[in-house]
Amino acid sequence: MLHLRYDKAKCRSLVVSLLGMTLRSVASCVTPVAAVKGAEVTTIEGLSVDGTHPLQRAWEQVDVPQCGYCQAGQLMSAAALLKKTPNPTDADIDAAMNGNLCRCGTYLRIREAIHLAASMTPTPATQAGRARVGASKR
Amino acid sequence: MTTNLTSEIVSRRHFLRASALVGGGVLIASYLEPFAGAAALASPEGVAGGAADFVPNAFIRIAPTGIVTIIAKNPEIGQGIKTMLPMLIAEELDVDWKDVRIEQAALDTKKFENQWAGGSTATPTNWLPMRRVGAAARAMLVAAAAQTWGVADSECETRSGAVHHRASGRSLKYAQLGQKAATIQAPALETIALKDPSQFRIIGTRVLGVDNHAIVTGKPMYGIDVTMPGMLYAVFEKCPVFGGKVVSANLDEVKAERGVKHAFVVEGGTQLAGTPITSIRSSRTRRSSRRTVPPRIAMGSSRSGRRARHPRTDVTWSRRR
Repeated sequence: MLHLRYDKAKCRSLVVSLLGMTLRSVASCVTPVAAVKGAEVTTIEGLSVDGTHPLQRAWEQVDVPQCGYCQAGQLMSAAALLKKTPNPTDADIDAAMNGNLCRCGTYLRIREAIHLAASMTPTPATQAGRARVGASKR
Repeated sequence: MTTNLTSEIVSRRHFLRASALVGGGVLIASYLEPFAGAAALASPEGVAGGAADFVPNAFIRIAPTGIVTIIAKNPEIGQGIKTMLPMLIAEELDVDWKDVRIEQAALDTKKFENQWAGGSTATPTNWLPMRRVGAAARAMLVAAAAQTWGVADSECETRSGAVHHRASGRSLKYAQLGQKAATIQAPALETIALKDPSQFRIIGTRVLGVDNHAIVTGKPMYGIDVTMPGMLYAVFEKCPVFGGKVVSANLDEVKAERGVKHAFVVEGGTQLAGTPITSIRSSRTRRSSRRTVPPRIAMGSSRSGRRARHPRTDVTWSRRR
Protein backbone atom coordinates (compact mmCIF):
# COMPACT_ATOMS: atom_id res chain seq x y z
CA MET A 1 0.00 0.00 0.00
CA LEU A 2 1.39 3.33 -0.97
CA HIS A 3 -0.17 6.06 1.04
CA LEU A 4 -0.69 9.26 -0.86
CA ARG A 5 0.88 12.09 0.92
CA TYR A 6 2.92 14.87 -0.50
CA ASP A 7 4.62 15.90 -3.66
CA LYS A 8 7.82 17.47 -2.44
CA ALA A 9 9.63 14.48 -0.93
CA LYS A 10 9.53 16.21 2.41
CA CYS A 11 8.43 13.27 4.48
CA ARG A 12 9.28 10.16 2.42
CA SER A 13 6.10 8.40 3.58
CA LEU A 14 6.04 6.81 0.17
CA VAL A 15 9.26 4.94 -0.26
CA VAL A 16 9.81 2.03 -2.56
CA SER A 17 12.93 0.01 -3.14
CA LEU A 18 14.35 -0.29 -6.59
CA LEU A 19 16.30 -3.42 -7.39
CA GLY A 20 17.77 -2.47 -10.69
CA MET A 21 21.28 -1.61 -11.64
CA THR A 22 21.76 0.00 -8.27
CA LEU A 23 19.87 -0.84 -5.14
CA ARG A 24 18.29 2.17 -3.61
CA SER A 25 15.12 3.42 -2.05
CA VAL A 26 13.36 6.36 -3.57
CA ALA A 27 10.53 8.60 -2.50
CA SER A 28 7.81 7.48 -4.88
CA CYS A 29 5.97 10.79 -4.63
CA VAL A 30 8.67 12.47 -6.71
CA THR A 31 9.67 9.54 -8.91
CA PRO A 32 7.83 9.30 -12.22
CA VAL A 33 7.10 5.75 -13.37
CA ALA A 34 9.16 6.40 -16.50
CA ALA A 35 12.25 6.90 -14.37
CA VAL A 36 12.11 3.37 -12.98
CA LYS A 37 11.44 1.54 -16.23
CA GLY A 38 13.04 -1.89 -16.11
CA ALA A 39 13.70 -1.73 -12.38
CA GLU A 40 12.15 -4.12 -9.89
CA VAL A 41 10.00 -2.07 -7.55
CA THR A 42 9.31 -3.32 -4.05
CA THR A 43 6.63 -1.80 -1.84
CA ILE A 44 5.97 -2.78 1.77
CA GLU A 45 3.96 -5.79 0.60
CA GLY A 46 7.19 -7.00 -1.01
CA LEU A 47 8.86 -7.40 2.36
CA SER A 48 6.19 -9.99 3.09
CA VAL A 49 2.43 -9.92 2.86
CA ASP A 50 2.03 -11.73 6.19
CA GLY A 51 4.49 -9.68 8.22
CA THR A 52 7.20 -12.33 8.54
CA HIS A 53 10.11 -10.22 7.26
CA PRO A 54 12.57 -9.59 10.12
CA LEU A 55 11.92 -5.86 9.94
CA GLN A 56 8.17 -6.35 10.17
CA ARG A 57 8.57 -8.76 13.09
CA ALA A 58 10.96 -6.42 14.86
CA TRP A 59 8.63 -3.47 14.24
CA GLU A 60 5.74 -5.29 15.91
CA GLN A 61 7.83 -6.57 18.78
CA VAL A 62 9.36 -3.19 19.60
CA ASP A 63 5.91 -1.59 19.21
CA VAL A 64 7.29 0.96 16.78
CA PRO A 65 4.14 2.32 15.09
CA GLN A 66 1.90 4.96 16.51
CA CYS A 67 -0.45 6.36 13.88
CA GLY A 68 1.48 4.25 11.38
CA TYR A 69 1.19 6.57 8.43
CA CYS A 70 4.91 6.94 7.74
CA GLN A 71 5.79 3.39 8.67
CA ALA A 72 5.62 1.84 5.20
CA GLY A 73 8.23 4.37 4.11
CA GLN A 74 10.29 3.83 7.25
CA LEU A 75 10.30 0.08 6.67
CA MET A 76 11.36 0.41 3.05
CA SER A 77 14.23 2.73 3.92
CA ALA A 78 15.26 0.33 6.68
CA ALA A 79 15.07 -2.61 4.25
CA ALA A 80 17.33 -0.81 1.77
CA LEU A 81 19.76 -0.06 4.60
CA LEU A 82 19.95 -3.67 5.78
CA LYS A 83 20.51 -4.93 2.22
CA LYS A 84 23.59 -2.76 1.98
CA THR A 85 24.63 -2.77 5.62
CA PRO A 86 23.44 -5.94 7.40
CA ASN A 87 24.74 -4.80 10.80
CA PRO A 88 24.38 -1.06 10.91
CA THR A 89 25.60 1.20 13.69
CA ASP A 90 23.43 3.91 15.21
CA ALA A 91 25.19 6.37 12.92
CA ASP A 92 24.50 4.21 9.85
CA ILE A 93 20.83 4.06 10.82
CA ASP A 94 20.55 7.78 11.45
CA ALA A 95 22.18 8.54 8.10
CA ALA A 96 20.08 6.06 6.13
CA MET A 97 16.80 6.98 7.77
CA ASN A 98 17.38 10.70 7.57
CA GLY A 99 14.51 12.27 5.65
CA ASN A 100 11.85 9.75 6.68
CA LEU A 101 9.81 11.99 8.89
CA CYS A 102 7.55 10.67 11.67
CA ARG A 103 5.19 13.17 13.15
CA CYS A 104 4.46 10.86 16.09
CA GLY A 105 8.20 10.72 16.89
CA THR A 106 8.88 6.99 16.76
CA TYR A 107 12.55 7.45 15.85
CA LEU A 108 14.12 5.81 18.89
CA ARG A 109 12.00 2.68 18.53
CA ILE A 110 12.74 2.61 14.79
CA ARG A 111 16.44 2.54 15.57
CA GLU A 112 15.92 -0.19 18.17
CA ALA A 113 13.83 -2.27 15.77
CA ILE A 114 16.43 -2.01 13.00
CA HIS A 115 19.09 -3.33 15.38
CA LEU A 116 16.73 -6.14 16.40
CA ALA A 117 15.92 -7.03 12.78
CA ALA A 118 19.63 -7.09 11.97
CA SER A 119 20.10 -9.72 14.66
CA MET A 120 17.25 -11.90 13.36
CA THR A 121 17.48 -14.75 10.87
CA PRO A 122 15.89 -13.60 7.65
CA THR A 123 13.02 -15.58 6.16
CA PRO A 124 13.11 -16.32 2.42
CA ALA A 125 12.10 -13.21 0.56
CA THR A 126 8.72 -13.34 -1.02
CA GLN A 127 8.09 -12.13 -4.53
CA ALA A 128 4.64 -10.88 -3.66
CA GLY A 129 4.17 -7.19 -4.12
CA ARG A 130 7.01 -6.85 -6.59
CA ALA A 131 6.46 -5.78 -10.13
CA ARG A 132 8.89 -5.16 -12.91
CA VAL A 133 7.98 -1.81 -14.31
CA GLY A 134 7.75 -1.75 -18.07
CA ALA A 135 9.44 -5.13 -18.29
CA SER A 136 6.90 -6.52 -20.72
CA LYS A 137 7.61 -3.78 -23.23
CA ARG A 138 10.46 -4.08 -25.65
CA MET B 1 -14.82 20.38 31.33
CA THR B 2 -13.15 17.12 32.11
CA THR B 3 -14.81 16.53 35.44
CA ASN B 4 -18.30 17.43 34.26
CA LEU B 5 -17.90 15.24 31.25
CA THR B 6 -17.18 12.18 33.35
CA SER B 7 -20.02 12.64 35.78
CA GLU B 8 -22.40 13.36 32.95
CA ILE B 9 -21.50 10.12 31.21
CA VAL B 10 -21.92 8.17 34.41
CA SER B 11 -25.24 9.64 35.41
CA ARG B 12 -26.74 9.28 31.96
CA ARG B 13 -25.62 5.73 31.70
CA HIS B 14 -27.83 4.47 34.47
CA PHE B 15 -28.76 1.25 32.86
CA LEU B 16 -27.14 -1.41 30.86
CA ARG B 17 -29.48 -3.82 29.25
CA ALA B 18 -28.47 -7.30 28.39
CA SER B 19 -29.43 -9.07 25.26
CA ALA B 20 -28.47 -12.09 23.29
CA LEU B 21 -28.44 -12.33 19.57
CA VAL B 22 -29.72 -15.70 18.57
CA GLY B 23 -28.95 -17.68 15.46
CA GLY B 24 -28.12 -14.98 12.98
CA GLY B 25 -29.92 -11.99 14.29
CA VAL B 26 -33.11 -12.38 16.34
CA LEU B 27 -33.06 -9.94 19.18
CA ILE B 28 -34.62 -11.24 22.37
CA ALA B 29 -34.28 -8.25 24.63
CA SER B 30 -35.09 -4.60 24.25
CA TYR B 31 -32.69 -1.77 24.95
CA LEU B 32 -32.78 1.42 26.87
CA GLU B 33 -30.96 4.59 25.95
CA PRO B 34 -28.09 5.26 25.79
CA PHE B 35 -27.37 1.72 24.72
CA ALA B 36 -30.13 1.57 22.17
CA GLY B 37 -28.95 -0.18 19.08
CA ALA B 38 -26.22 -2.11 20.80
CA ALA B 39 -27.36 -5.22 18.99
CA ALA B 40 -26.36 -3.61 15.74
CA LEU B 41 -22.82 -4.36 16.77
CA ALA B 42 -23.58 -8.00 17.35
CA SER B 43 -23.07 -9.47 13.94
CA PRO B 44 -21.95 -12.98 14.77
CA GLU B 45 -19.36 -14.23 12.33
CA GLY B 46 -19.89 -17.81 11.26
CA VAL B 47 -22.18 -18.55 14.17
CA ALA B 48 -24.38 -21.57 13.57
CA GLY B 49 -28.09 -21.45 14.39
CA GLY B 50 -28.78 -21.48 18.12
CA ALA B 51 -25.41 -20.11 19.21
CA ALA B 52 -25.57 -16.59 20.52
CA ASP B 53 -23.22 -13.79 21.38
CA PHE B 54 -23.71 -12.25 24.81
CA VAL B 55 -23.99 -8.51 24.27
CA PRO B 56 -24.27 -6.83 27.68
CA ASN B 57 -23.78 -3.37 26.24
CA ALA B 58 -22.56 -1.42 23.25
CA PHE B 59 -18.92 -2.11 24.09
CA ILE B 60 -18.76 -5.85 24.67
CA ARG B 61 -19.62 -8.97 22.71
CA ILE B 62 -18.77 -12.39 24.06
CA ALA B 63 -18.95 -15.20 21.51
CA PRO B 64 -19.63 -18.85 22.37
CA THR B 65 -16.06 -19.48 21.20
CA GLY B 66 -14.77 -17.42 24.12
CA ILE B 67 -13.54 -14.59 21.94
CA VAL B 68 -14.36 -11.27 23.55
CA THR B 69 -14.85 -8.39 21.14
CA ILE B 70 -14.42 -4.96 22.67
CA ILE B 71 -15.38 -1.79 20.88
CA ALA B 72 -12.93 1.11 20.93
CA LYS B 73 -15.04 4.23 20.79
CA ASN B 74 -12.52 7.03 20.23
CA PRO B 75 -10.64 7.88 17.04
CA GLU B 76 -7.13 6.44 16.92
CA ILE B 77 -4.60 8.99 15.68
CA GLY B 78 -1.41 7.45 16.97
CA GLN B 79 -2.03 8.07 20.65
CA GLY B 80 -2.87 4.41 21.31
CA ILE B 81 -6.44 4.95 22.46
CA LYS B 82 -7.74 2.03 20.37
CA THR B 83 -5.59 -0.21 22.56
CA MET B 84 -5.99 1.62 25.86
CA LEU B 85 -9.78 2.02 26.21
CA PRO B 86 -10.44 -1.70 25.61
CA MET B 87 -7.74 -2.51 28.20
CA LEU B 88 -9.86 -0.72 30.82
CA ILE B 89 -12.93 -2.73 29.87
CA ALA B 90 -11.07 -6.04 29.65
CA GLU B 91 -9.48 -5.46 33.07
CA GLU B 92 -12.79 -5.15 34.91
CA LEU B 93 -14.49 -7.78 32.76
CA ASP B 94 -11.66 -10.04 33.92
CA VAL B 95 -10.78 -11.68 30.65
CA ASP B 96 -7.38 -12.59 29.22
CA TRP B 97 -6.01 -10.04 26.76
CA LYS B 98 -5.15 -12.85 24.31
CA ASP B 99 -8.87 -13.58 23.97
CA VAL B 100 -9.75 -9.96 23.20
CA ARG B 101 -10.38 -8.68 19.69
CA ILE B 102 -10.82 -4.97 19.16
CA GLU B 103 -13.16 -3.24 16.77
CA GLN B 104 -13.16 0.45 16.02
CA ALA B 105 -16.56 1.97 16.72
CA ALA B 106 -18.41 3.73 13.95
CA LEU B 107 -19.33 7.32 14.72
CA ASP B 108 -22.50 7.05 16.79
CA THR B 109 -22.61 9.58 19.58
CA LYS B 110 -26.02 8.34 20.72
CA LYS B 111 -24.48 5.05 21.60
CA PHE B 112 -20.97 6.11 22.58
CA GLU B 113 -21.42 9.78 23.48
CA ASN B 114 -18.08 11.56 23.17
CA GLN B 115 -16.01 10.27 20.29
CA TRP B 116 -13.19 12.64 19.62
CA ALA B 117 -9.45 13.01 20.04
CA GLY B 118 -7.57 16.05 21.26
CA GLY B 119 -6.60 17.53 24.57
CA SER B 120 -5.04 14.47 26.19
CA THR B 121 -8.06 13.90 28.42
CA ALA B 122 -9.27 10.50 27.17
CA THR B 123 -7.57 8.49 29.90
CA PRO B 124 -8.82 10.51 32.88
CA THR B 125 -12.32 10.98 31.45
CA ASN B 126 -12.74 7.33 30.51
CA TRP B 127 -10.90 5.77 33.43
CA LEU B 128 -14.03 5.10 35.47
CA PRO B 129 -16.72 4.92 32.77
CA MET B 130 -14.92 2.24 30.72
CA ARG B 131 -13.99 0.23 33.79
CA ARG B 132 -17.63 0.36 34.91
CA VAL B 133 -18.76 -0.91 31.51
CA GLY B 134 -16.54 -3.97 31.98
CA ALA B 135 -17.44 -4.41 35.63
CA ALA B 136 -21.19 -4.29 34.92
CA ALA B 137 -20.90 -7.07 32.35
CA ARG B 138 -18.78 -9.08 34.78
CA ALA B 139 -21.42 -8.67 37.51
CA MET B 140 -24.10 -10.01 35.17
CA LEU B 141 -21.97 -13.06 34.33
CA VAL B 142 -21.32 -13.68 38.02
CA ALA B 143 -25.05 -13.46 38.76
CA ALA B 144 -25.80 -15.88 35.92
CA ALA B 145 -23.32 -18.43 37.27
CA ALA B 146 -24.54 -17.99 40.86
CA GLN B 147 -28.14 -18.58 39.78
CA THR B 148 -27.09 -21.67 37.85
CA TRP B 149 -25.45 -23.10 40.95
CA GLY B 150 -28.03 -21.76 43.42
CA VAL B 151 -25.40 -19.89 45.43
CA ALA B 152 -24.85 -16.25 46.40
CA ASP B 153 -23.00 -13.91 44.03
CA SER B 154 -20.58 -13.09 46.83
CA GLU B 155 -19.36 -16.70 46.94
CA CYS B 156 -18.15 -16.41 43.35
CA GLU B 157 -15.07 -14.87 41.83
CA THR B 158 -13.84 -14.36 38.31
CA ARG B 159 -10.57 -15.02 36.53
CA SER B 160 -9.53 -15.33 32.87
CA GLY B 161 -13.02 -15.23 31.42
CA ALA B 162 -14.62 -17.68 33.84
CA VAL B 163 -16.67 -17.57 37.04
CA HIS B 164 -15.49 -19.77 39.91
CA HIS B 165 -17.39 -20.93 43.00
CA ARG B 166 -14.81 -20.98 45.77
CA ALA B 167 -16.53 -23.48 48.10
CA SER B 168 -17.34 -26.18 45.54
CA GLY B 169 -14.53 -25.55 43.07
CA ARG B 170 -17.00 -25.37 40.22
CA SER B 171 -16.45 -23.01 37.33
CA LEU B 172 -18.25 -21.83 34.21
CA LYS B 173 -16.72 -19.98 31.33
CA TYR B 174 -18.25 -16.65 30.27
CA ALA B 175 -18.82 -18.21 26.85
CA GLN B 176 -21.17 -20.76 28.48
CA LEU B 177 -23.12 -18.14 30.42
CA GLY B 178 -24.41 -15.92 27.61
CA GLN B 179 -28.01 -17.11 27.50
CA LYS B 180 -28.44 -16.89 31.26
CA ALA B 181 -26.57 -13.61 31.64
CA ALA B 182 -28.80 -12.01 29.01
CA THR B 183 -31.74 -12.40 31.40
CA ILE B 184 -30.00 -10.65 34.30
CA GLN B 185 -30.93 -7.09 35.14
CA ALA B 186 -27.93 -4.87 34.50
CA PRO B 187 -26.57 -3.15 37.60
CA ALA B 188 -26.42 0.62 38.03
CA LEU B 189 -23.08 1.89 36.78
CA GLU B 190 -22.43 4.37 39.61
CA THR B 191 -22.49 1.75 42.32
CA ILE B 192 -20.77 -1.09 40.54
CA ALA B 193 -17.78 -2.47 42.47
CA LEU B 194 -14.42 -2.01 40.76
CA LYS B 195 -11.18 -3.89 41.25
CA ASP B 196 -8.60 -2.71 43.70
CA PRO B 197 -5.57 -1.56 41.66
CA SER B 198 -3.47 -4.26 43.35
CA GLN B 199 -5.54 -6.80 41.42
CA PHE B 200 -4.91 -5.28 38.00
CA ARG B 201 -3.61 -7.80 35.49
CA ILE B 202 -3.90 -5.76 32.26
CA ILE B 203 -3.78 -2.11 33.31
CA GLY B 204 -0.18 -1.18 33.95
CA THR B 205 1.26 -3.91 31.74
CA ARG B 206 2.90 -3.30 28.40
CA VAL B 207 0.41 -4.17 25.68
CA LEU B 208 1.44 -3.89 22.01
CA GLY B 209 -0.56 -1.65 19.70
CA VAL B 210 -3.53 -3.53 18.29
CA ASP B 211 -2.91 -2.24 14.76
CA ASN B 212 0.82 -2.97 14.65
CA HIS B 213 0.44 -5.96 12.35
CA ALA B 214 -1.86 -4.15 9.94
CA ILE B 215 0.54 -1.21 9.84
CA VAL B 216 3.69 -3.22 9.14
CA THR B 217 1.93 -5.13 6.38
CA GLY B 218 0.77 -1.91 4.74
CA LYS B 219 -2.99 -2.25 5.13
CA PRO B 220 -4.94 0.78 3.96
CA MET B 221 -6.24 2.37 7.14
CA TYR B 222 -6.25 6.09 6.48
CA GLY B 223 -8.76 8.60 5.25
CA ILE B 224 -6.54 9.52 2.33
CA ASP B 225 -6.59 5.90 1.12
CA VAL B 226 -10.30 6.17 0.40
CA THR B 227 -11.40 6.61 -3.20
CA MET B 228 -14.91 7.22 -4.45
CA PRO B 229 -16.24 7.25 -8.00
CA GLY B 230 -15.78 10.69 -9.51
CA MET B 231 -13.85 11.88 -6.49
CA LEU B 232 -11.65 14.96 -6.90
CA TYR B 233 -8.60 15.80 -4.87
CA ALA B 234 -8.26 19.21 -3.31
CA VAL B 235 -4.99 20.76 -2.23
CA PHE B 236 -4.48 23.80 -0.09
CA GLU B 237 -1.56 26.12 -0.59
CA LYS B 238 -0.99 27.50 2.85
CA CYS B 239 0.70 30.79 3.57
CA PRO B 240 4.10 29.82 4.98
CA VAL B 241 3.79 32.42 7.69
CA PHE B 242 1.23 32.32 10.47
CA GLY B 243 -1.27 35.14 10.08
CA GLY B 244 -0.38 35.87 6.45
CA LYS B 245 -3.13 36.81 4.01
CA VAL B 246 -3.46 36.25 0.29
CA VAL B 247 -3.03 39.47 -1.72
CA SER B 248 -3.53 38.03 -5.18
CA ALA B 249 -3.42 34.73 -7.03
CA ASN B 250 -3.36 33.89 -10.74
CA LEU B 251 -6.50 31.82 -10.54
CA ASP B 252 -7.36 31.96 -14.27
CA GLU B 253 -3.90 30.75 -15.18
CA VAL B 254 -4.13 27.94 -12.65
CA LYS B 255 -7.61 26.89 -13.75
CA ALA B 256 -6.42 26.59 -17.35
CA GLU B 257 -3.96 23.88 -16.37
CA ARG B 258 -4.62 20.24 -17.15
CA GLY B 259 -6.63 18.39 -14.54
CA VAL B 260 -7.59 21.45 -12.55
CA LYS B 261 -11.33 21.88 -12.19
CA HIS B 262 -11.44 24.82 -9.90
CA ALA B 263 -9.21 27.16 -7.95
CA PHE B 264 -10.17 29.73 -5.40
CA VAL B 265 -8.79 31.80 -2.59
CA VAL B 266 -9.72 30.94 0.97
CA GLU B 267 -8.64 32.57 4.18
CA GLY B 268 -4.94 31.98 4.66
CA GLY B 269 -4.29 30.29 1.34
CA THR B 270 -5.44 29.09 -2.04
CA GLN B 271 -7.50 26.00 -2.75
CA LEU B 272 -7.41 23.86 -5.87
CA ALA B 273 -9.72 21.02 -6.78
CA GLY B 274 -9.21 18.64 -9.65
CA THR B 275 -7.94 15.28 -10.74
CA PRO B 276 -5.61 13.47 -10.93
CA ILE B 277 -3.74 14.52 -7.85
CA THR B 278 -0.34 14.70 -9.56
CA SER B 279 -1.41 17.48 -11.90
CA ILE B 280 -3.09 19.38 -9.09
CA ARG B 281 0.07 19.21 -7.09
CA SER B 282 2.34 20.34 -9.90
CA SER B 283 -0.02 23.24 -10.56
CA ARG B 284 0.24 24.21 -6.97
CA THR B 285 4.00 24.33 -7.08
CA ARG B 286 4.09 26.34 -10.30
CA ARG B 287 1.47 28.86 -9.46
CA SER B 288 2.36 32.19 -7.97
CA SER B 289 0.22 33.76 -5.35
CA ARG B 290 1.36 36.79 -3.44
CA ARG B 291 0.81 37.12 0.23
CA THR B 292 1.24 39.70 2.90
CA VAL B 293 3.81 38.74 5.43
CA PRO B 294 3.24 39.77 8.99
CA PRO B 295 6.17 40.96 11.10
CA ARG B 296 6.51 37.66 12.95
CA ILE B 297 8.45 36.26 10.01
CA ALA B 298 11.41 37.69 11.87
CA MET B 299 10.96 34.76 14.25
CA GLY B 300 11.88 31.54 12.51
CA SER B 301 13.76 28.35 13.24
CA SER B 302 16.56 29.12 10.79
CA ARG B 303 17.11 32.55 12.25
CA SER B 304 16.89 31.22 15.79
CA GLY B 305 19.32 28.45 14.91
CA ARG B 306 21.76 30.96 13.48
CA ARG B 307 21.50 33.07 16.58
CA ALA B 308 22.05 30.06 18.79
CA ARG B 309 25.19 29.13 16.90
CA HIS B 310 26.46 32.68 16.79
CA PRO B 311 25.23 34.47 19.88
CA ARG B 312 25.39 38.18 19.65
CA THR B 313 28.14 39.72 21.69
CA ASP B 314 27.41 43.31 20.83
CA VAL B 315 24.30 43.59 22.93
CA THR B 316 24.36 44.59 26.52
CA TRP B 317 21.24 43.58 28.38
CA SER B 318 19.87 46.01 30.85
CA ARG B 319 19.19 44.70 34.29
CA ARG B 320 15.52 44.39 35.21
CA ARG B 321 14.45 46.88 37.79
